[in-house]
This record gives sequence, C-alpha cells and structure tokens, in this order.
Amino acid sequence: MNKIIMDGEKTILNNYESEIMVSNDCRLYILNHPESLTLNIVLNDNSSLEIYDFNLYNKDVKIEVIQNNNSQFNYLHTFKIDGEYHFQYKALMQGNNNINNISIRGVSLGSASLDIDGDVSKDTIGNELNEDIKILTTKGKAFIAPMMHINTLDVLANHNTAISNIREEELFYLMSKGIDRVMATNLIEDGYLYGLFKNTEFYELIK
Amino acid sequence: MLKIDNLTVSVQDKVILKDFSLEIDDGNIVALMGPNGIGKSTICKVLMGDSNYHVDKGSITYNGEDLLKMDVVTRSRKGIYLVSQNPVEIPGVSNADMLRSALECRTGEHVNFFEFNKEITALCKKLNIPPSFIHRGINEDMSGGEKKKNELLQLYILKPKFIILDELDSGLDVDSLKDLALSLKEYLSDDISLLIITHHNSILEYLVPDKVCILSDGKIIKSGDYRLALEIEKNGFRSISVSEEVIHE
Repeated sequence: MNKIIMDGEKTILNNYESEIMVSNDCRLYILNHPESLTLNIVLNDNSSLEIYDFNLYNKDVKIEVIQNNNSQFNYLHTFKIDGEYHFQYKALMQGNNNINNISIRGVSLGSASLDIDGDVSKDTIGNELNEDIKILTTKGKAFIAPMMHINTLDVLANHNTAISNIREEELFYLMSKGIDRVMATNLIEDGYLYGLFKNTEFYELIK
Repeated sequence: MLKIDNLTVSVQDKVILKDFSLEIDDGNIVALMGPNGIGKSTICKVLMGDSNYHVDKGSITYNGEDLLKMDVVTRSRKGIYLVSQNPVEIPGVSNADMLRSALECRTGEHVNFFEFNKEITALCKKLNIPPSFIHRGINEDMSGGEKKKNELLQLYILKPKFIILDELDSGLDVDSLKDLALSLKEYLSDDISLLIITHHNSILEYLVPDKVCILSDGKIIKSGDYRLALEIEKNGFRSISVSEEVIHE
C-alpha cells in the first residue's frame, strides 16, 4: 500500500490504494478512480481533511478513518453506477473533539450497497458524527446499512439516509417545459451528481 | 384558440369538473374565478396534461388539434405554459441547465452558451431579477415570490402562446404582484392568450380580462366582463349562489 503524508496540501489522488497521514488542513480530490479505492486515513491532532470523490465507474470503495483529537474529516462523494458497487466506510473516533461529516449522493442504475460505520470510543468527549446519504434509484436498486457504535455519553451523532425514485412531479414539471422524459431524467440525475459540489472549485473539474 | 367542450374530469373516481365548457380566443384574457377547493386548479392540470386527472368525457381542441391526444411535452412545445400555484423544487438542477435543455429539445439544435447567457442576463435585468437566479437550483430554497418570478423568467425564454396562471397572486405581496403582472402584460400580444385562475380581483386590476367566468359545482355558472369580478369583490361569491362545497383541495 502506498504511503502518503499530507501536510497542509491540496492534491489530486492518483494512487488508489493508500495510507494517508494528515497534518494541518488538507484537501484531496478523487476523480473517477479506474480501479477499486482503498484508503486508510489517520488524522493527527489539530488537523483536517476534506475529500471530494466523484465516481462514474463501478469500482468499489473502502475507506477507514481514524481521528485522534481536535480533527475534522469531511467526505463528499457522488457516484453513478450501472453495475455492482460496494462502498464501505468506517470512522473511528479515538480521541476528543473530532468532527466527521459524510455526505453521499448516488444514482444507482445497477446495484449499490453501502456500509457506513461510525465508532466513537469509550470515555471520549465532544465528538460529532454526521451521515447524510441519498440514493436515487431510477432503474436499479440500493441498500444502505448505517451503523453507529457510540460508547460514550458526550457525543452528537446524526444519520440521515434515503433511497428513492425520481418524483413524478419533478418529471412532470420539466416535461411541462418541453423537455422529453429521457432528458428530464438525466437532468434530475445530474442534479444529484453535481449538486453536492456546486460552489466548489471541484465542480468545474468534474463538469 | 382553445375550446373546451362538455368536459367531465375525475380524480380517484371523484368527479371534479362536470360538463365544463369554455372558449378562449387568441389574444384574449379570461379569468376563471371561484372560492377555494372548488376545482379551479383541476382545469390547469388537465390543460397541461397531468395524468393524475382523468378525462371521463368531453373534448379540448387547441388551434383545431385534439389536445387530449397530446402528451405534456407536445403541449408545451405547442405553446401551452402553466405557472403553478406552488412550483416544484428540483435541487441541483439549475435554471440555466433546464432552460438550455428545454430550448435544445424544442429546436433540436445546440444552444450557444454565450448567446444564451447574454439573453438571459438581459432578461433578468428587464424583469428586475438577480442574475444569480439562473444558476440556482430550480425553485430551490426560493420564497413564494421568487418562485413566481422564476416562472416568469422561464416564460420569457420559452415564449409560450397560451399561458395558464394558477393563482399567481397566492403568496405574493401587493408590490410583487403588481411587478409580476405588469411584466406579464408586457409579454402579451394579439396572438397570446391568458387564462387566469384566481379568487381575488387584485391581479385583474393589472391584467384586465375580456371575460370572467365563475366556477361552481364543476361547471361555469355565470360569465360576464370585468364588471363581474368587481361585483364578486364587493359582494362575494355567495351573492351569485356559488356552491361552498369543497370538491378538491
């Protein structure tokens, strides 16, 4: 496994099987990884990492994040797949005062399965864990298994997951503007895919 | 010209419109009035082609063609445009993307990005709409007034010939209503028709109707000119024996 030390950097990931040590404030861009992605990430004290991950390939993802003290990890991920897709995420909050935000928007035309685990260690304080996952199943299916292991009383943990089809009223609205059904569906799917990154520099890159 | 003849419409087996007839000539403004829940919005949905509304009998012709045989996309491309009472929000899909797609679908040609931006920016200025509107998600996190302004912006780009306003006045303050109504008035011409669904007179002060129709029990029970709307405003719907039964919310 490739080892990367990030220290206040902003970079595009090219090696899709990596151990990453983070110091200071860093950002990582991942764009259409052509092979499976495996990341083991350790955030040192007082560091932050933001990952923007955009994936149109049916390549699996496995991410494990360990947070020590006073760190923040933000993971924004969108995907559109038409085959089998397995996504595994594990957040381990070992120290105090960490924030872990995970936002995923996906369009499944195949079969997507997402395991999202959050683990907050015993006797820690001030940790915050937020999961926000929405999957659009136009032709395919999706399965989300969120799991939170909270071993302390002082924690803020939220999880919000939704799997839905495109709403008929949205399609009707677009079609009433003269847009045919196929293009209306594509527009809504693209809105899902790109919406998460609107107003970020990553948006121009993925567009 | 639009002609609705003896139309009976139901939703989930409940009859909403019964032997409803109405004609709207090119260039005419027609106001359809009635109290809340009487089924006024049903006619908007039927004209636009919402499949949740079932036409049991009757006919609708638009410029001599059978409107009921057209799907919603065809109706739109033929020039029919609905401003809904509460336009739907579609997060992530920008107005610009939607409008470019709509234009490309209509013409079958690629829309020049630069020309499009130029046109829409000029329109925003004309309609007193912030240019940032065009990059926002469709009606996303917009107030009632902003949503209606957004619909008006789209209308100016898509250039429809038959416009249906489903309670444009709901959720608007007096100034916003006046601005929107006057902007719409500027768009109208001899070959553009307007159907205004409302239960208030205020919008009709700016868009003076050629004909006012009162809906009750699923059909039009009284028609007249603008003076009928003034009479309603003064004496209420009860003065002309309008049913108060709520048929459809």
